[in-house]
Amino acid sequence: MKNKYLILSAMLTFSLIATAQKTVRGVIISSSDSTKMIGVTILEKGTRNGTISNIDGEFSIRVTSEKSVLTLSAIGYKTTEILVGNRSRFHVVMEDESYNLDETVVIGYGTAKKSDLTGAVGSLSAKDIENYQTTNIDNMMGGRIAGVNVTSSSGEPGAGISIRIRGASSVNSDVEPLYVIDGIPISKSESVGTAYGGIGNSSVDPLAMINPSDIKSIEVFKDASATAIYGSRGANGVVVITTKGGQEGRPKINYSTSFGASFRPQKTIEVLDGVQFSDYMYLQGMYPLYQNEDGSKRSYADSTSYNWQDKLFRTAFIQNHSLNVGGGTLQTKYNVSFGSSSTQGIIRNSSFERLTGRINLDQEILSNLNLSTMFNFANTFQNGSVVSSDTGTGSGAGVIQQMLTFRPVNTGALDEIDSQTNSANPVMYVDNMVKTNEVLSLQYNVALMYKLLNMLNFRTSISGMENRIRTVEFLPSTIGPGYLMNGRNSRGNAIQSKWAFQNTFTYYKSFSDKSKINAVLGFTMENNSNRIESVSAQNIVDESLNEESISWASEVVLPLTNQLYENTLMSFLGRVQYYLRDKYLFTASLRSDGSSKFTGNNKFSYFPSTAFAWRINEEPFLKKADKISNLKLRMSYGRTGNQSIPAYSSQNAMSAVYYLFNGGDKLSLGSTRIRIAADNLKWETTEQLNSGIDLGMFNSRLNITLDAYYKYTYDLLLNQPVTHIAGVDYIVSNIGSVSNKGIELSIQSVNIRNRKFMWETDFNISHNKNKVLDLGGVESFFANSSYDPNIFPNAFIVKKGESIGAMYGRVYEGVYQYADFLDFYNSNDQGDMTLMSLEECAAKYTAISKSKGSFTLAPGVASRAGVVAGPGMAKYKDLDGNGIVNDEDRKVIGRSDPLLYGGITNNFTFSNFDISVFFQYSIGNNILNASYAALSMRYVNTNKTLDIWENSWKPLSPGNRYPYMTELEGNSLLPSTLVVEDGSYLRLKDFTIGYTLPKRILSRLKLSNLRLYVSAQNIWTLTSYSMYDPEIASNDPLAMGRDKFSFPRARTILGGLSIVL
Amino acid sequence: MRQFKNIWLMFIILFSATACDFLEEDPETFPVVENKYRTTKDFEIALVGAYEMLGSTKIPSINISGDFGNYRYGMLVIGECGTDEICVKNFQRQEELNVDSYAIYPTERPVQALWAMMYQGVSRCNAIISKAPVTDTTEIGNIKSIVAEAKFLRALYYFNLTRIFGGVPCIEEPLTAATWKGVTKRDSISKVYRLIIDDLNFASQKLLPGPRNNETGRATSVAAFGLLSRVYLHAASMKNTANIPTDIQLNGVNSYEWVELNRNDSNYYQLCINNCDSVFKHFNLSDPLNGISYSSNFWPNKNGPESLFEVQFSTAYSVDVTGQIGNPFGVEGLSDNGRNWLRALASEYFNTCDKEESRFKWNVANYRYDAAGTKISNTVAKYWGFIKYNNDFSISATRSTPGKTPQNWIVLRLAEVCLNYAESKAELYNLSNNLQYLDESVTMLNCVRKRARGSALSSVLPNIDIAFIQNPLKTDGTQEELNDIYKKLKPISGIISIVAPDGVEVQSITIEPGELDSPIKRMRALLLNERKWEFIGEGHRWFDLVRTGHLKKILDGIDNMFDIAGAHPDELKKPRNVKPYHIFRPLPARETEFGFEQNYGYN
Repeated sequence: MKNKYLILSAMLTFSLIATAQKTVRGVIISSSDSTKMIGVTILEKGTRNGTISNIDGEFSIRVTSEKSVLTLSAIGYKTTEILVGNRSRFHVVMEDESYNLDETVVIGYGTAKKSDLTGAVGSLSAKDIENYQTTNIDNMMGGRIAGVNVTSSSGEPGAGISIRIRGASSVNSDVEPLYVIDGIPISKSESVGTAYGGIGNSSVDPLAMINPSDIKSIEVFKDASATAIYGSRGANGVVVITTKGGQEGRPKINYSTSFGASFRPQKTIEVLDGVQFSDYMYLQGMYPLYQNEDGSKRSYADSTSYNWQDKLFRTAFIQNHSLNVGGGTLQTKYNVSFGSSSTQGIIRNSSFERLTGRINLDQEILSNLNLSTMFNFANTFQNGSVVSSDTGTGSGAGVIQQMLTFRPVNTGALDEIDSQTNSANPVMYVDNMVKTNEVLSLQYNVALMYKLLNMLNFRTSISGMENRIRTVEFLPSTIGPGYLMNGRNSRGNAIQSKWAFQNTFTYYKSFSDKSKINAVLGFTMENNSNRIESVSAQNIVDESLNEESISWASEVVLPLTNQLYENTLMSFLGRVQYYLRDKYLFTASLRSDGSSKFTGNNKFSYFPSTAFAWRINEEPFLKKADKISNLKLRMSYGRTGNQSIPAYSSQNAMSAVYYLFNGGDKLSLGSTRIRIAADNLKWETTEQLNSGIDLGMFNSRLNITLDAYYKYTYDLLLNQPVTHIAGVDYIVSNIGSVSNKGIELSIQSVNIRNRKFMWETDFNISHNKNKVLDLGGVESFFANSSYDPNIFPNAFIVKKGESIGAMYGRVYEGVYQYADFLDFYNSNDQGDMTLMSLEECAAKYTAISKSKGSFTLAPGVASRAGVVAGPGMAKYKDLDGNGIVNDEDRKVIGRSDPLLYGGITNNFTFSNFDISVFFQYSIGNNILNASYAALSMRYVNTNKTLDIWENSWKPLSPGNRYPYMTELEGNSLLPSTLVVEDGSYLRLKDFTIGYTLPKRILSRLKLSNLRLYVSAQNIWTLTSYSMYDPEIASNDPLAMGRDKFSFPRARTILGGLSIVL
Repeated sequence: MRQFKNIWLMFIILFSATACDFLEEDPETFPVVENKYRTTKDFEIALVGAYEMLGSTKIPSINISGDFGNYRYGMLVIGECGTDEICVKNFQRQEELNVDSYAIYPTERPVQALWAMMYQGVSRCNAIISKAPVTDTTEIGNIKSIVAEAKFLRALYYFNLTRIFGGVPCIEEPLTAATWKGVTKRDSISKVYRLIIDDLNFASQKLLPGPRNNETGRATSVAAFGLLSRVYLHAASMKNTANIPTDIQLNGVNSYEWVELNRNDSNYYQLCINNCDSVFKHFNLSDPLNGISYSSNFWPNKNGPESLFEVQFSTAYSVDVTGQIGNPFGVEGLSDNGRNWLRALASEYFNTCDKEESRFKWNVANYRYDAAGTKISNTVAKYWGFIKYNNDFSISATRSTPGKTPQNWIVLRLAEVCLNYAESKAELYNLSNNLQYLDESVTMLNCVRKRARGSALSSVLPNIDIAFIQNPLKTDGTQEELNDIYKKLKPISGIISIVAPDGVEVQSITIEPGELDSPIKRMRALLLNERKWEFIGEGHRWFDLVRTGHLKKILDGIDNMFDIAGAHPDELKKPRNVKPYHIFRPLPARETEFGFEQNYGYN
């Protein structure tokens, strides 16, 4: 820690030198309606010096010299460049353009014009963001950028999101991109460690800490040319989020608000009603509750029948407020924002609240020295008692499972703990359980920019993030999970802290022939630490204080958790961009990263990249082709790395356990090894080849971007499963390789544009093929580590030649029928066999079952290893044809990743109205519906779906869809095609109608702008998936397609307005 | 350009000042193995870790959900499900049902958890044994005792592994990232036994008869002798009576042909007896159980006078160290809250056991507690539990008590050593025809019966007469007379008819000629019955049925899952279909993926 201060003091010792300057002023007019333009960005080219035009379209900027070039940019307008020369006043007319090639986009450690890009970068500009009203960044990004697959992990308010850029290039726990938020590099995987029952989990979604309306732009770096500058963490792509900065001019106040409601999902899952259920339970002959004293069926026809879905789903309310004040002078620019958002979940007692505050302040200290500061504060509060858990069963299950499986009929006291499942009714569960997660997050960035020479800038910054996470859980004794412990109260604190010290030199020079050179050289240091402390206590004497009753608990749950994970990263980076005559664009970069997670000589690795782009439309032979406004060819190659393994993977770490001697009177603490030190670990490396083409036609009314790539990842950092003889589930190892091949197409087109009406379409589609090439001598291994290993064990495999996390299992062929057994045939004297009638079969089936005899399979019918086959049992395909179905008869039966995915947006504008319709789709992916296990569970006082009940085999109605529920063979737990479903969907993700007040009314109201809108989200979905929501993302990257009672996405309707003063 | 130089200089200074240790890791909150195992205290702490695995359900580094720990619940399920002692009553207990009906899947927790947790125990012991600075000349002191205790535990873990799974890899060093890959083959059972016997011999020689530090629950020399007697008897009887068909033998990983029975100096029955004698030295030599009541072993007592080794459980601190035995087996009470899901095959026991003997009331609880905590009689046999695993159901007891049952798991107690002795003597008699062995065998059996009889009349559970064993027949042996003899011998269910409490004969098994027609067969029947009455619910039964070769015969006569007096749908009565290969359980599927050969019949 000493180093931190050393660096800080060193940083502050840099000397500051001033140089001569000149001030220029001007006014900017729009070519289309001759109005004065507010908010145009004026940048002194090659520097970070810039301003924004004020309400009268005027600007004033101090430039370095007469040679300076001013770049004027505004959304929807062509960027204009002017040489300052000896003039000091300018009158600039800006031409509008629907697609702006000269838009400035952020690249790693700098900015670049879109037309100058050599790498594959997808971006959401301010315009895209402003037109889209949402409270979630995932909603903002999902389906909008080619090659970027965004899913939120569930529909629960405050749930994290999962982003895959060009498929999963890693097999370990981290396939998420690196986030760079206002210059702070944040990897989600840096938060590791979980204490008892998830209490004290330090995982924080960095995106949840940002008020979406603070975002100015989002850039997604996809190919190695773009990401290699982030070296070690660029392999999964980089998402760069830039927030709104200050602008010169009088304070501009923007207030926006929205109110709305969320509704339960489109689909209701049909389960048995009270009468059907009690009939079913009686047939099982299980419980005295369902029969009278004399053994006859007890009728529940007069009792209330509950559909718990109606009781638990609700109409939930949402409101958002955001206030933004920005302005400044030439020297000082500021942007201050405050936001508050409150989202109720569509299930009772679930909500997410967020308060954010942000200050962006830029101060010119000297003419060549700028101070830029950013400070973001966020406080989120998630009330997540309904967390849909993947690990629990019965009483520990998530509420979605309970909602569907709790008995629908009142068999006595409905709120009584159910004796078989230990669960209270789900309404009670939800209302009484407390689980909250509160995060206080501070993000800061303080940067000094110093202009050393005309063309050389130095920038140094200290940035960081400090998250305090507090989790509280209370399981009262009145509900299942707390019953046996007589109440349990747990609380955990996590502190996630990171800082980054980044220093870069930027060199810029342009030549008279339009050639220019741009170079970056840098040195960075980063430190991440996560601390988790938690305590849990049970047997609560007095529960009246609810989640505050821990002091009244009589037993502490041991051992107590205290974990600190810390890792560091040190990097050197450099990049040269050379633009030859504005036609041939070259980029080369090199980064060297050293990570504390590796040992000895393996600490450092090198990540070079190179790229070339050719702006063919600048060539003389295309200059005449006036239909082609832009044609650019891009090629890139580069290496990136991945080091997302837990800290201390190279150490034989130990942990505390305990034993009680003397019959439990004497506590002794013991130790055990919890991790086997990895051997000689090194960086996981990805090499990526990308080639792309950008085509703009008809004066940029049609823009097409097509990219194809090949990613090859080797030295995979793999949680390699090891035999339990070794005492651990896995050892982190560098093993094997995977490839991702893909193609991405995005089309932006202005279909109709005239004075009255405009229709634009944005379409993108992506395909990625992921393939495991090598696993270091192993053919395959199962991905079982992070979910309940007892529900469909070994359902996901990492197998050579298949995609990562392919679904694996048996091929379900329906149910063994009477005809499959010799017992149900009559034979005549000639030995001819005829099948008995259904009634005879059923009678004989019952008789054989009663006498405990077994059934004889007919010749040619495959038997099943481990069990004696009988009618009604699940039948699987005998793939190797050896007459017995065993583990050898498994194969890949599904894929988690889609064949094609993307989105299509149509925007319509007429007079002051605008309409946006956005569809998201995914084609060709499978979902492993793990919910089936609980929904088909037999002999348990839990409900079933109507589908399973009606279509399962029964002696007198031998169906073929599902096995007989009374078969005690555990076959519901074997992964097979029975539970693999098509996960394709088309979803109307967003539909927005907006109205902007006409200018004349605005000026009468003394407003700059006022927009009203109504927006509907997720309102319609086309899918064949049998559960609520096909848009699922498991937390386990190796089991992405696994769905077990996920919290469905809400259908939301929002109305809002945005006022600019 | 001078400015440049300054900055570069700054960079270089910064870099050299910080790079040295900036990228080094320091796991402040995790001790690392390399810094431990240095002081005696380190080893003491590690040893507690080795004990912990006896009763824990969780391994911090392995994801296995549920209750299945070694002695917390796993050994109970493996030792009792699928026998004539209990049935599984709760249908939510799919995995227990599958064990019970011999349809166990290699992916299921009972085998998954036992394998992982036994080996976790082994690896914790290995860390101690391989790192402890013990040489032949090391004095007996703490460090040597620590190693001896670790060896006892390792032997126990390996013994359980091998009798559940057959031959397993013999690992004696902690595995590392480099060495684990070398473990792909199962070792033969004989190799595992050599390791077990070496470890137990070491432990029996280096440990003291009483627990170290006066901490009950620690391994002692007496416990090591007792366990050795079981180990030798298990191997000897597996060879002698559990016929493993040659067509399912796999290169020594599931066969006992190597066991010595024909040599006097290393006869396994004789070695069993030698170790029993070493145990008896610490008790009354001529009548070891004299003065020790049956009930003193059980609830609410712990570590009773005949206890040799118990896994210590408690309700204190957390549910994770509470054990499970009272939960599935105990008396029903307050509400039927998921408890008592493994039920005694009570009527079966009821019909074969002498109701006047003292064990009966501890093994059959024909009552339950109502919601008010009052004891009420319960005539429905299917609800009967074991009073020896009772809980405190008084109204003042906290609700958490049923879920957390503080009873110790008795791994080894004196009565077993007595019966091991009696069985070995009887087998020696069979091998040598030396009547003195039979006499010693019957005498020791009568010691156990005498204790069980307690203060009842001598006609209750009468002493066995050696002449009766030799020749019970007075006539030529009509079916009627044979039946009479079998009733005297007390029937093993499945071998003779079973009568329900209402007097209706439920099923009748034809007596095959040749059954019980020799002295040793009669002795074996007597001993197997005695073991059931003595140890019901203590996790011995499945192993006893397997090693004596009775598994199939007995189970074919008993419904699984439900006792015969229970009113359950007929369709649920399925045959257990015991096959010869069922004498071993399947290796976990996760393990066979690493190349370990699966047991015959399970793949």
